[in-house]
Amino acid sequence: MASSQPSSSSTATQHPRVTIPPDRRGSRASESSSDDGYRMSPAAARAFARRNMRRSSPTPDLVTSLVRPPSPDRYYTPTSTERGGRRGSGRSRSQAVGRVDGSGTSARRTGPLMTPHPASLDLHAKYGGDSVFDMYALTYVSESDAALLCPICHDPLVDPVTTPCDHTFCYRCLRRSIESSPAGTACPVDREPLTWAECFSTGRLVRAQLNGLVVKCPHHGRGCTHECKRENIETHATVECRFKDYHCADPECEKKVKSKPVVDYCQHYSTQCRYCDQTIIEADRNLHLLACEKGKARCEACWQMVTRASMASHHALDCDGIEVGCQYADLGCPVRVERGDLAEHLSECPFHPETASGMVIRSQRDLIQTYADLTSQVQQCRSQQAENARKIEDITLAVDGRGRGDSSLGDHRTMQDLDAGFEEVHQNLTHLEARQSMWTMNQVMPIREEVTELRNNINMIRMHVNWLLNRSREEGRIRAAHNSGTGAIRRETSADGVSMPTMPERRRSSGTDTDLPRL
Amino acid sequence: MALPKRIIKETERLMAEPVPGISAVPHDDNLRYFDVEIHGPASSPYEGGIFKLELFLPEDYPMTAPKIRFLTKIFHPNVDKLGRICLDVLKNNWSPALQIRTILLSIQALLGAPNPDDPLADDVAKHWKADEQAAIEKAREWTRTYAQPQPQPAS
Repeated sequence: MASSQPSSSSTATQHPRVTIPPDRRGSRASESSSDDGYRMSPAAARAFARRNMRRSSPTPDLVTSLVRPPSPDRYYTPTSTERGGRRGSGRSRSQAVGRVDGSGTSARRTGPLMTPHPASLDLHAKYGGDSVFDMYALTYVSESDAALLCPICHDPLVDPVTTPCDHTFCYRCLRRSIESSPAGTACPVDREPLTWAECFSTGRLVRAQLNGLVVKCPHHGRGCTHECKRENIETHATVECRFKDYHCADPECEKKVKSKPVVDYCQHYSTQCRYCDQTIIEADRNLHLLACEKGKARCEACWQMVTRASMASHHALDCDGIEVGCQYADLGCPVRVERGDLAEHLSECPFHPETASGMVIRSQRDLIQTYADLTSQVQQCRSQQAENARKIEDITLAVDGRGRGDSSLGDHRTMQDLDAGFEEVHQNLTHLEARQSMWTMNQVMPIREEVTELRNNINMIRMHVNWLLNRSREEGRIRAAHNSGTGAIRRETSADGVSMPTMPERRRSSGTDTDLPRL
Repeated sequence: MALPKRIIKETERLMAEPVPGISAVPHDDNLRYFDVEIHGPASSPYEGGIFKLELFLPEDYPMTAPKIRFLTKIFHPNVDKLGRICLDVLKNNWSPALQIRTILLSIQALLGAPNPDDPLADDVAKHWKADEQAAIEKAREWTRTYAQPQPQPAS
């Protein structure tokens, strides 16, 4: 660490000498010794940038926001092309171990942006960590520059990550340190407060130097004498090296295994994955575990082990390392913090509706809302009016279609025309009504006469029937009197002598009606 | 579990470039266990004494601090009767960037600058505060009695 200090300060002083044009350098010569005074050291500049980037004040200080130096990550942002390039350089990244995509909840990822090597994610053996190529266990051919050594593992850096206080560590070492740090998170070298989100990937120059270091093949213990640059060693060891495969422990078995057998029987039997119940070959268990949906992978944002299948929901809902917006963002709070720090922010968020400022903001928002509502109402009215005008136009056109005068009519004329149309329709209606009633009258009169005639006929028939009934009744009575033949009846008949002689005459005259009383 | 490369490297370096006044030798059967000897710093009551300590590197070293204990009796406000040491870098202020070498140097510095305000051995600290001269004299006496190089070859 002591050795790295002078080198960084020397770059800080050399740098301005290159950039300042000669004429301006002359004017600054008087204060040349205080170069560091107005030009920040890289570390200070990064810290400054970080501080400003993560400002939690809702109204950013105008001055600092104007002179805010660009974030260091802008220089180290791995574009998709660079990621592709690294993959092309031989690292097998096919097993996507816990990648955090920006596609989750936050648009901006926090923490170092370079994709770490799978070995940096410190996967446990029970989740297949044993079959990840271990970049941290390489043997270097020559002693490398002390400045390239990680202060924690004392080996050349792997996936170097730089802290805001300008110390650089291996990805895995720093994460382990943050994870196990008893005194909160602090830089292991100078104990500056530190969070993972503030760290960033170290510059390309350093990475290039590290990748150029010559290492021995990890199978050198088995006889491989290959030595190559560190960036190529994984391809060699996993693809090219002829010592990479081990014979199966069972001498009968012809197959090879990828790692040194730890048991003395053949591993090529089918078994079930203990997480997903899929049938796998025991020898390939680790390879399966690295892709098993129900196995766990490292969440890069919060360093927790999370089931692969639930990684997306973990990022969306409960990962503490993902940057999320304040829940009052719709009220205007611009703060984005890691989910783990959200509660702390909410307790002091000026947009919280229960604080004084929050109330003011809320009432203002209500006003704005009301105004917006009114505006939309006015717009609605306007559109309705336009609609009405269009309808009137249509009606006018329709009326014109019925052959009424010129087509170009103003609103005034239209109304008059409409009135006239109404009038005409009204007249037509009255006319129709009159015709209707006339027609009805004409139809009804004959029917009524007929009804009267029918009624007369019925009356006549009724009279006839009555007469006939009376007559038959009387006839029956006379016949009964004749049939009894006793003196008493004779006396009766003799007493009624006035009417009696007429009755037979009538009966004789009617002739055919003799049987009627019998009915 | 295999020994991490860092422990091997540290051990090699401790052997190759030893710190003046400090020696640390790992046990043959357990490379995480070290026998340590610290010479009392000059112009301190412990001058001339050779103090033995034991040092153990736990499983997750360097993420946790090594366990260190005085084996030699010592009259010091920050070391208790059992030889346990009250030193911030061994507890909360441990950092994985520290090493065996730096920790032993801190202990040597602690011998040179006792801190009775943050005591582990209360009686020693009281003695130290009440009468510093007498306490220093007692520390000197203990050093002569218990921390002399002569008995070392015998034991």
